[in-house]
Amino acid sequence: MSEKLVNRKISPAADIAENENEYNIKLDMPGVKRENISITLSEGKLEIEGKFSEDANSSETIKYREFSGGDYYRGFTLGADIEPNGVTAKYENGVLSVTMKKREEVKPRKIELLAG
Amino acid sequence: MYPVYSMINDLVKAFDSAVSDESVYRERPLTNVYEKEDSIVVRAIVPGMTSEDISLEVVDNYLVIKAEPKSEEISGRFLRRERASGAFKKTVKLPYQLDRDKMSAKLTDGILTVELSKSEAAKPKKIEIL
Repeated sequence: MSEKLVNRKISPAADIAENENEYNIKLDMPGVKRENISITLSEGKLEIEGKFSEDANSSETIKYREFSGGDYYRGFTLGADIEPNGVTAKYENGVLSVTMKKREEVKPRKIELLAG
Repeated sequence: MYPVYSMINDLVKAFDSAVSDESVYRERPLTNVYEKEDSIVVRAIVPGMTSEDISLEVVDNYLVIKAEPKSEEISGRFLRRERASGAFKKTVKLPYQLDRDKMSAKLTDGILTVELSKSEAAKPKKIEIL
C-alpha cells in the first residue's frame, strides 16, 4: 500500500473561469519545470501532466516533512463550445494557466435592428 | 445483517480518513525542513506567488514566513475554485540556533527555498584527543 501511495499522482487544485470569449483553467503545479509539463487535447479531453523535480541534494537530510513531491495529472472533459485550435498555455511561478477560446458560433452576438 | 455491514463500512471509512494525507490539517504553506552540515534548508510550497508577495523573518530559532499576495483579477466568473488564496503567516521552528546574518532565499517554480546558517555554537565541532 505504501508503494501505491508513493506512486500516486497528485491531482493539482484548479480554478476554472469563464467569460463570453474563453475559458481559463489555472492549476497549482509547484516544483515542475516548464519543459516537464505536457498538455494534450484529444477527442474533447484535455489532459495535463507534470513531472515533479525537487532540487534537493544529497547533502541534505530531512528533519520535518509536510509535503512529498509527486508527479501531477489531471484530465478535463471539454464542452463542444471550445475551439480546438484556440488553446494556449503559460507556466509561471508554479501555476499553469490554460486558456481555451470559445467557438465563434457560440459567442453571444449582437443583433442590429434594421431601420424601417 | 445490515447494521453490522454498515458499522464495518464506517470503520473502514474512519480508517481511510485517518491514514490519508487530506484529513490532516496543515497550515499553509506546506513546509519541509532539511538539515545540512552547516545549515538548515526550509522549502515551502507557494504557487502563484512572487518575491514581492513574501516576507521572511528570523526570530530566535523560528522562521516566520508571511505572504500577502495580490488578488488575481479575472474577467468573467469562476465556475470552480479549488486553489488556496489569500494571505498567510506560518512560523516554522528550526532545530538549531541560527546565524541571523547568513540567510538566503530563492523562489523557483512555486517553491520557496530558504537556507539559514547554523550559529557557530550549533555547528559540529571536532574535538582532538590529546
